[in-house]
Amino acid sequence: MNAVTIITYVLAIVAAISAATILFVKELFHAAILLIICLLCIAGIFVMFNAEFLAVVQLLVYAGGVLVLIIFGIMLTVRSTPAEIENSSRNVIVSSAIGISLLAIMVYALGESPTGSTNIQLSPEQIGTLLMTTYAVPFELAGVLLLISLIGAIVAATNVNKT
Amino acid sequence: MAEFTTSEAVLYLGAFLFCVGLMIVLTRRNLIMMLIGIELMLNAANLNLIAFNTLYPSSADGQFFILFIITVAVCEAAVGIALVLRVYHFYKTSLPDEIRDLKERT
Repeated sequence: MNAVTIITYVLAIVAAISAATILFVKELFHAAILLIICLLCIAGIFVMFNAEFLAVVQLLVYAGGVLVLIIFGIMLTVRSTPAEIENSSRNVIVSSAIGISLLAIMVYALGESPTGSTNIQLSPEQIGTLLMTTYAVPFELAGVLLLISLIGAIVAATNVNKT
Repeated sequence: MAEFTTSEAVLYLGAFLFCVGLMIVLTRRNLIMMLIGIELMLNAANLNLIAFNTLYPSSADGQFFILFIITVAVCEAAVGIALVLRVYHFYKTSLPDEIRDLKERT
């Protein structure tokens, strides 16, 4: 049991608890904060698996981008329906049966899955070189996809009736 | 299972997060809550990739796959929130159960 193992377990436990709490909180804003706690713990797990660049990307993109988007979405869709209707759950029994049985199947299947122990550690320079050589095509496609989806988001969010 | 490694722990965490995300999507009534569940499911997939990448210590394919999954997740979140806002402006609700009209309201 070295320090890396202990930290990974602590991060995993915190991530699992905060994710499970999202199921029970009433307030949307609290759910967003719990989501970001879970994502930060996942970034810590990336560090423990020698993927520091991914951890930084996770921090920048999720803490800086997605959470801000979600909080703006929460603030811009001000409640018009009663909060107890909006925050209530439906199909609780059926969906928890689906979720728990899926979890049981996956845990059963993961019981004999092979895993290694260490990851390769890449410097930012190596990551940049690999992105421009081996992974050049998906890199460019990701750029095009980002451009298309952001333009699409702007067009979809603009009120076309007012123009 | 000789000994319980951190990679296996992360695999189980990924399975757990995926199921929690699925249950959030299925049970919650609010559209933004459903988006939060989808983000959780995408991150569970990322955890699986980083755990299985330990099987191949000489290659970093899993890490780059995660990089592109994060890109796609951001696109999905941006378009999803934009659609939620548009639907909210039109129907004055963010509950998908309330959205039943196909024809434009007069």
